[in-house]
Amino acid sequence: MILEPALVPGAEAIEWNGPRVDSLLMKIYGDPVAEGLALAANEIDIMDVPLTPEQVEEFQKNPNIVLKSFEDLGMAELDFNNQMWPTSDVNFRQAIAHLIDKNWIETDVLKGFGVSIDNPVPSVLGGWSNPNIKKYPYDPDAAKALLNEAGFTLGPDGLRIDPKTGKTLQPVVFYIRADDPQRTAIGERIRKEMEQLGIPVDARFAERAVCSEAVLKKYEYNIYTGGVGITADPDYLFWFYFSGMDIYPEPYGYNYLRIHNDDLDEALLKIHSGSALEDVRSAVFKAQEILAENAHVVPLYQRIGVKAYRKGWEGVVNGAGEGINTWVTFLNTHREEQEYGGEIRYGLSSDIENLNVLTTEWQTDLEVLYRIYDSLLIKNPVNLAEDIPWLATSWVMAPWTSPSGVPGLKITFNLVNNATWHDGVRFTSADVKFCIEYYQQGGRWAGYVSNVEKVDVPSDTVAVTYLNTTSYFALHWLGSMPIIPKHIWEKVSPADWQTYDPLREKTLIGTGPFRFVERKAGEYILLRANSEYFKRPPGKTLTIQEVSLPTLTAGEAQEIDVTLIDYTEAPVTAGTVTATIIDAEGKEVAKINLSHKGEGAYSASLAIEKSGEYTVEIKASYTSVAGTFTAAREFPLTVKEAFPMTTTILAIAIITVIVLVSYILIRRRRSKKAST
Amino acid sequence: MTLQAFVLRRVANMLLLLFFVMTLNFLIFMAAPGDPMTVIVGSRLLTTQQREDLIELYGLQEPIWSRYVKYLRNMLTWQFGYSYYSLRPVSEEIMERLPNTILLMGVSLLASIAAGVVIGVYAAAKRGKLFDIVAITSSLVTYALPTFWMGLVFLFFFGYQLGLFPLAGTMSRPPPSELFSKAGDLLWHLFLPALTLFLYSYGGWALITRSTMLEALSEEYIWSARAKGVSERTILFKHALRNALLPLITNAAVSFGFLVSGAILTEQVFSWHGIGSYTWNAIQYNDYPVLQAVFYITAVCVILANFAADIIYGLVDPRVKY
Repeated sequence: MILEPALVPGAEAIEWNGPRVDSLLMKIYGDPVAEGLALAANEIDIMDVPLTPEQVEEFQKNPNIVLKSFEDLGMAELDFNNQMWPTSDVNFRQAIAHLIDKNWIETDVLKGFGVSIDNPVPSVLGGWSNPNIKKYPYDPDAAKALLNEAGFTLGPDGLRIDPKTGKTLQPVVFYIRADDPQRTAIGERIRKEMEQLGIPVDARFAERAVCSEAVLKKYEYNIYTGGVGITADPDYLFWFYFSGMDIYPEPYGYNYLRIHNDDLDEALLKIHSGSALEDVRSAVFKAQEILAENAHVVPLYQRIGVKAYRKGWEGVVNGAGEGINTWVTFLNTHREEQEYGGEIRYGLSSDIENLNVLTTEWQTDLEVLYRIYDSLLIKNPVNLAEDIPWLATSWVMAPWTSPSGVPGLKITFNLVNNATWHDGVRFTSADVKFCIEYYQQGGRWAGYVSNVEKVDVPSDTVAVTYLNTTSYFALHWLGSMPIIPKHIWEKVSPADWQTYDPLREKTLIGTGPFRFVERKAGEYILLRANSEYFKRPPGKTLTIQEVSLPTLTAGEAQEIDVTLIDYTEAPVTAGTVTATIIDAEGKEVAKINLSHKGEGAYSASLAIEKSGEYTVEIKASYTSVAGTFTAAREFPLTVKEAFPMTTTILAIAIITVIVLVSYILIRRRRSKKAST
Repeated sequence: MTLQAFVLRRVANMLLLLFFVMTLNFLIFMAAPGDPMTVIVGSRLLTTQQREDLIELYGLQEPIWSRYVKYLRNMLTWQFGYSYYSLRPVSEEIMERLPNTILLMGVSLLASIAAGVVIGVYAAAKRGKLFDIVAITSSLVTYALPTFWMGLVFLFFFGYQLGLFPLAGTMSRPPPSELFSKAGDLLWHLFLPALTLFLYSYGGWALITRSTMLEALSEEYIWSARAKGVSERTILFKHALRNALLPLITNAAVSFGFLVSGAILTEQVFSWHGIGSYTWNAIQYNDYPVLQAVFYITAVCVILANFAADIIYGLVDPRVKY
């Protein structure tokens, strides 16, 4: 059912400026069916959530809707409690791995909406994924052999014997998520396979909250149908599988699988602290090999999502791991027939809850926040390994040793000099320094900045960060977080940041491509294009289309005409136009305001007393919903000398004399003729 | 017993009942499976220190009796704490949604009572005839159909296929600025969800009315009225219905008590920004402060509505003595 091949790096023609539209209207739909109907009924242009299989089937027949598929940045996995018998035994885990029929999962469970995976670093992460790891094909005989080899022989009652006790194996506690039909089906199938092999199973079908309590809080499980979100950088391997992340008996440890493997730890530490790309990549490959070899966890599948948008939009970028609603899509996209202007109507599957960038965790909130705030760099959505400079134009990484002797990194960010916050205040390195230090007190981004020891700002456009880690990924930790304005957040005390509501305080101020305008709870959020955006497309501007400069004679008044059009090629009727006349010495000799005469045409009367060469500077501006736009053009102007009066009088006199003399001579000739 | 004494006694009973409901409300959530902390701390993005800070913020580390006392005080002073999901004050979020719910539920309830009573009256008058059969059948059918299914069908047919009604929300996005246009826009958005709820509930009123009317119509005073030549319409609506209304008053009063709880499924389907969809969200995310607040408010309203029903009943029926 895959609708198009997986992304090809560089296949998308992306222009790294925008936004092209004037506004972004996010409409809220509490029900995915209603949102799908809204797309079909042309109430919205893009949906935020993947389609259901039924919607895919229906929209494939709709010529007005474009479908794009993508691999999800997440995976479903079979989690083992590596410290609880019998799943603490590697042979037992490997045997279970051989009982998973991944072909059946793809065809019968996922039905084209997913791919089975063998690797906790799936191929969507590109060059980080190791293709040469141990795999566990579906093979009950191999599972049987492994169990027998490990001493889990079959007893007379058909149940496996526990080699430690010599008695029938206690039922393996297997938590199966009941609120996810796919995980339920897979869990049920694995349970049956295990029972067929004589492994007693205590299968517990429960919804998320119950499973979380048993698995994440109390660690009272052997097997669990888990699922995790992953990131574009594979350093999540460290957080999920490093033995130090197992904080048992404390609840909610990252490493709730309780993996303790010295070789794995060594590789994970290199991932976490390695500075050189090749060393880190080698460690990532090694970690995948060890995880697979020991079956510490069995990756099951990755979802393939399908997202949809209305036909007639250009510049939609289908990103790896996220689909069409990438950050760049909202920057780039515009209607086919209109290069600039207009509005994108974007469906949201739930209302926003919390627009405090430090504390929010919900995807809908981030949809809004990521339009308002920028980061130092961004990932190329079609090639996750490529970093695109953004608020930072460039960066330099160098080794550094902290005062306490810990080897670390010094990352110098060179910043743009033309970015401003939405309230007009200039963005500087002081904002970057403040942001890093503020995030360190807590919240969503605290982990991203926890290794920063200090930040220096030698100039407005340079921020030097000193980290007590040598991790290659530190660049992305600092580079990917939203930068908040110092002049706003310095007024929020450390005691209040957790409950601070920028929406209520009207301080949703960023440097981003869109400005927050309005929110109606449960209905919509309206954002407008930031007309002062530092990456505004050059073509999205005001144009002085025509200028008609008359041939001027000194002292004589003539009309000067200017025509203005906006970026949609519509005439500008509410603009301000001035013409400044500057002489050859650079001195201003006149300044006039042109009045609108209709259809974007502006004119005024211009008279210059002295002849000579001049320059006319036309400056125009106008303000629309998209902001204030200005334009300027210069033209040469020659003012001719006026025809001199004395010369005129002399000429008239000579002509008069000539005429009179001619008249007299003609009269005389006629008289002579008459007399003869 | 005088009315005054009756009122005082009922108020005392109400307070006792309220205390019982509040305690039950507290204990239910304490005993519920699943750990609300997974909402906050289930995310792997938080450090251990951050989790501890949030546990302290919500008072989850305190002993149960201390939390109970705090809970009682908070409920009585309308301080419902912060939502685990949004981190915003629950009372603020409820007040934001309450008007939409009262509008939707109020309109559909009034319409279904009015229509149900009229249909029930005529069904009783034409007992056994075609009208009666159709009325009973349609009442039972619409009552049996799931509201979310009905809502989706209306949405698909009237909203999408015919394009007659909007697909979501309480207003156009962006909304009209002029007052009358705004009101019209709101009614336009209200129509389908209110129709869904109306169809679901009018049948119940029709059947209750029919049942009580049949009883009233068999009374001797009705025969007398007929013998005197009083018009059938007057007999039905002035004589019989007056007496048949008494049980309806009680039901209607209690139904009004449930106005604030919203209609979870209908609000979800129509993206109606009300208490029902709020409750649904809270259930999904174990947002206990929200659920406690909604249940508490609903209980208070139902208790008050019941009390009002008792008073009204006594005023309407002179036979009732306090």
